[in-house]
Amino acid sequence: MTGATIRLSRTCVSLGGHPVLRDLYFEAGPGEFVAVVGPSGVGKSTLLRVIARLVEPEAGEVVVRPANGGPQARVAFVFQEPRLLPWLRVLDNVAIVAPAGSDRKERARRALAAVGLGDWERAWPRQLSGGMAQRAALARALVTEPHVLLLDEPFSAVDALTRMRLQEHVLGLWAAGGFTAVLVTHDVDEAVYLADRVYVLMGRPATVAAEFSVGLPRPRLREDPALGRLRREVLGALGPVPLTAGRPDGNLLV
Amino acid sequence: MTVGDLSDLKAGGLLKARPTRPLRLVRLGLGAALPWLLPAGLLGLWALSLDRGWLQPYQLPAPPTVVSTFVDLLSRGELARHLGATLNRLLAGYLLGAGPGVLLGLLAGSSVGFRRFLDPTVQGLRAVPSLAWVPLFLLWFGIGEQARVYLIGLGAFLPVYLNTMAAVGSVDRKLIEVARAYGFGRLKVLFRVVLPGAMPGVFTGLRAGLSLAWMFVVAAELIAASNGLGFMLVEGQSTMRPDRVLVSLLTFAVLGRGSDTLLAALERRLLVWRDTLATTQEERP
Repeated sequence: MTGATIRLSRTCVSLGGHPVLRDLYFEAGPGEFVAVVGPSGVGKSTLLRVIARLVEPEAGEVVVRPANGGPQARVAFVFQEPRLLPWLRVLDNVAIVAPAGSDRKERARRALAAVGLGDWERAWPRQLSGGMAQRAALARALVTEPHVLLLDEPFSAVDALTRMRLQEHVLGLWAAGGFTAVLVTHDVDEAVYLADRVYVLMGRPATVAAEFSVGLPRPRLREDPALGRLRREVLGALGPVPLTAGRPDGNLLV
Repeated sequence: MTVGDLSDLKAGGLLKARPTRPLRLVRLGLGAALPWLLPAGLLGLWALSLDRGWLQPYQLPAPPTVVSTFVDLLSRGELARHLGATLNRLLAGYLLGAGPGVLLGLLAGSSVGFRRFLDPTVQGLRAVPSLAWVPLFLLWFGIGEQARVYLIGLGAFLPVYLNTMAAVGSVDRKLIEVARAYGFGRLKVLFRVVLPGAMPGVFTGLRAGLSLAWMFVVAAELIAASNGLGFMLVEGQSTMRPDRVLVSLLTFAVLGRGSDTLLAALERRLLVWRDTLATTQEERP
C-alpha cells in the first residue's frame, strides 16, 4: 500500500442532463489525506464517484495512478451508510471483496481485527451498532489493500463520541496503510483536523472555490488554536458566517 | 363499597381491584378454550342436525362414520395410493413451474431487454384465468399425467415469476453500487447481491405458487384422473359417499397446511439475516 496520485483536470460531469461539476481541478498525492467540503448537494459525492469510476466524466481528464508504478490503482469506497450486505455475516462481508485466493478469510480476519471487530466476525450486520457497522465497512475497504480510500461523509450518521473514535480509527489506519485518502464531509472541524489539504467546492455547477493547506504536524490536538483559525478561514470560503449564537438567520456557529 | 371490602383490599396490599385467583384461572381457561369453541359448536350442530333429521346421512354422514371410513381407507392402503398419486404430480408440477419461475423472474427483473422481451407475453397469458387452459391442455397432451403436471406447473409458475421479478426490482440500489465500487462482475452481482436481496420476495412467490399448485392439482384431478385425492372427491360424489369426500377434504387440508409450514420453516432458516421482528427475537451472539 503505497498510495496513488489522483489528478482531475478540467473535468465536467452531468447527471440526468444537469451539469454538476464544471472544469474541476483536483489533485491528491501519494499518501496524502485530502478533504473536500462544500454545501450539501454541491457535487462532493459525485467527485468521489468520478474518482472511483462509478461516474464517467463528459469532458476532462481523470488519472488515478499507483505510486509504485502498477498498472491500475485499487480504489476502495466507504459510504455514508455502512452498506454491508445483510445476508452475509460480518466476516463474509469483508472476505467477499478480498483479493482472490485461499487466504481470503484470513485477510478478512486481520482487517476486522484492525478495526477492533475481531470478536464479531460471526455476527449478522443487523446485530451491529451504527459505529460498529461503519467500522466493518472500513475493514471491507482495507482488505482490498487500496491505493486510494474514498470516504463519503462516513461519520455523519453516528453520535459525536462515536464519530471522534471513528476519526481516530481512520487516522491510525491511514498512517499505517500509506494510502491516499479523500474525505468528503460537511463538517469543517473534521476536515481541518484530519486532512493535509482542504478543497472547498462551491457553485452550481461546482468548481473549486478555495484550497487550504493545513500544514500542522501530527498527532494533532483537537483544541489547537491553529485549527480554530483555519476552520474560520474555511467557513469564510463557504459563505457569510453568523458570529453569534442564537441569530435566527444562521446555523453555523463560530 | 362496604368497609369489609376495603379492609380486604388492604389486607391483600392492593389498591386497585384485581380479580381473585380462582376468577383469574377461569379467565385463563376461557382464553385457552376460545379457539375451540366454534369447531366444537359446529361439530355439535352437525350431530344435532343428523339426529333431528334436518340433514340426511347421504348428504352429510355422522362424524363417527367419517372416522371409520378414514381408518378403513388407511388400512386398505387406498388413501396412501391416492395420496401418493396426488403428491407425485403436485411435486412434479410445482418443480416444473417454480424452477423456471425463479429463473425467468430473475432474468426479467435484472435485464431491461429481457423484461421487454418476455414480460408482455406473460402478462398477456396471465389475463386468461388459468383454469381456462384446461381444454387446450387436454387436446394437446391427452387425458394423462402429462396434461395434469403441465397444468399444475402453469399454476405455480405465474406467482413465482411475478414475485421474483418484483423482488429483483426492489433490491437496494445502494448495495448494487457497493458491488460496482468493488468491481464485482455481472455474475457476481447477480448471485451475491441481486439473488439474496430478492430472496424474501422469491419466498413469497414460492409460497403463493405452492398454494396455487394445490388448487390446480384438485382441478386437474376433478377433470381428468383415475386416482388421487381429487379423484376421490369426484368418485365420492358420484357414488353418494360423502364420507369419502370428507376424508379427502381433510387430507387436503392437512397436506396443504403441512407443505406451507415446511416452506415457511425453510424460509426462516434461509432468511435468518433479515432485520425483522421475527428474526431479531433470537439471541444475540
